[in-house]
Amino acid sequence: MLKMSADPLLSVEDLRVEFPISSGVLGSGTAGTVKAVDGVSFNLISGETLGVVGESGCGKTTTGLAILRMLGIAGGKIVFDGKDITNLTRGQMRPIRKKMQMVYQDPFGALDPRMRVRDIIGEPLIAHAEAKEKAKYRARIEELLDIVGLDARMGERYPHEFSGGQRQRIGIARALALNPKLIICDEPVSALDVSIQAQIINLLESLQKKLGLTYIFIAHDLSVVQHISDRVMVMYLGKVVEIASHTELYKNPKHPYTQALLSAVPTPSPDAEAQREVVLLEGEVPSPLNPPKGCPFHPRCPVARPECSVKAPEVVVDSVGHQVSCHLFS
Amino acid sequence: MADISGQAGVSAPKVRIGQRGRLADFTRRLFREKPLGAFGAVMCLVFLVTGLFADFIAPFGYNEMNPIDRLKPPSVEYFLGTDQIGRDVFSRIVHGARTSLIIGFSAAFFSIIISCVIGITTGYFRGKFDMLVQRMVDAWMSFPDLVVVIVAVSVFGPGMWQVILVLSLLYGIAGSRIVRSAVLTVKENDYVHAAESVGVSTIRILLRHILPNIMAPIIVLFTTRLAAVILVEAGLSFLGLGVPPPAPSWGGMLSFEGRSYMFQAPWLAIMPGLAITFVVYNINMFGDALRDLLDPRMRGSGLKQKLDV
Repeated sequence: MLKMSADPLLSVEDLRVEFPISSGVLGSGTAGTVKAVDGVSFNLISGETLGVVGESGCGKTTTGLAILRMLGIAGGKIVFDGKDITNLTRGQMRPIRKKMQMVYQDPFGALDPRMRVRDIIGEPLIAHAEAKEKAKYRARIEELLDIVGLDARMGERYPHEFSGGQRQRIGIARALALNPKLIICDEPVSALDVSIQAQIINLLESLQKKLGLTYIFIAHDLSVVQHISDRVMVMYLGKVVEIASHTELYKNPKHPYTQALLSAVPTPSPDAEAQREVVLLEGEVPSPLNPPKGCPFHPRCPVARPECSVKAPEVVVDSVGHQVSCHLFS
Repeated sequence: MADISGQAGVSAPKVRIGQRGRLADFTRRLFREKPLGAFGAVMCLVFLVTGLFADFIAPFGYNEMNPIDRLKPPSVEYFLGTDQIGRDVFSRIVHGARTSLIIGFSAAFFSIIISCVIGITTGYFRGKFDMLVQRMVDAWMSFPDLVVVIVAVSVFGPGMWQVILVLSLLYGIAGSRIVRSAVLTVKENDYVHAAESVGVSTIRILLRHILPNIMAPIIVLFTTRLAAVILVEAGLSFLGLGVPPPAPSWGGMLSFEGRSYMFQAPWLAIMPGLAITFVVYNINMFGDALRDLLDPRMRGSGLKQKLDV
């Protein structure tokens, strides 16, 4: 739906992140590797919101951290704002960090309890030497507090004096401090009350319009993702199973896993709820230490065929850009 | 109480606890919830004042001899009696407090510095560096303390600064484990990740985020170190490895005059012994109270911000 520029802001190709499981007395041996992110590819157009959903442990957050280069990358390529950042050093990454920020899941853990709110929000400015003039620095912090709907006087306080929703606003203000292009929201509302969730989502949406932000919105709650996303990416066991625009995905989910996820979303109307067909998945998510051969979803898939356990499905893209990895469509 | 007023401060700004109120608030809690700890704190203060103003408090010089009044029991003139060459025991204990104070605070302070440097760097950077340094710490800790001290004293000769150096190293290196484990938990917090992902420099992360958030265990570590150092210094002086006579030291007093005249003049052994026990006990009580008050996430508000200055 958003086809403004041909060049994507972010393009991720075949991204792989692996965690070695060390063994032995000195931690020298390797018992195996967890493929936390295994060949993830997607593009992100400037100004859009990509929702990322999946069960816990499917590699959503790891993907986000890898894009920020907070983790070692085992393979693949990340191009951000026209620049390949896959192999940049710490020092080379520093100027780029200004343009990509993160909002964290836990509003209690994300703010240093020993710092005043104004220092928390101002820290990115200080880190990038944009706090030279005291008056400008103060004005910027007040502006940021105002943008996220907090009183300028609240900057004097400490994080423990705020509620969860207010803290999340502070986290957002910090992320906005350096005028970033991309914000990775790692389950920013899952720790909040439902009523507060809506406020934060609305805040994020209005900020996006005002400041032209691009979001990667990680969540495990499909209804939240449906509301805010332009496109939705479904992940399972470190792999992308489906990417589609949010209307297309919710109307026409192709992958059996997506169908199961969608059927698990409760509906607010009791009548509709009674008629809702629920696809129940059996079993557990397999260990990423030892993922199943072929399609990673086949042991739990209600419509698995013999070939599913033999070879991994190809990525198929249809005419409306609906991408799915499933043998049913290849 | 602190909780409630702190919470109310969010909705009603008029109840805001001022920065100045935090220490007062903590003191109030100390006295209300930990009377024994508060007693310890007051006694520590007495000890501090005694050590600092020894010259004004002691009626006699620590080495001032009155040969006529040898081995006198406690009396009005000689508060705690006199020793075999007529020195006033009270004056010597007061001056001994200064020795204990200097050695205790210096060694505890330097050992905390050493613990912090080792603990914070290894805990934050991890990896091979952590591995290597921690194995060296293991090796160091496997030496018996007393052997290290005897070797050091025989190399550098006895004296106050040698004792401080050796005790700082001994306790500093062992204590690095405690600091390191505190760092390990703190550095996994999202606010540290957030600072890293924004591009905040490592030194700033260590000083602004890690250090203030491990202050509680560090303060508690300091009080336990203080008590331990005073005790060990007394032990070393008893063995003749500490502060050489005639400088007054509680351990030395126990050993030289106390041991020789234990039966003729028991106050020579009892008084310095009591001084050691009393000071160490009170520091420990205060330290325990501090740990209890600082540890359980401060129960909302508190003196957190005040203490990390």
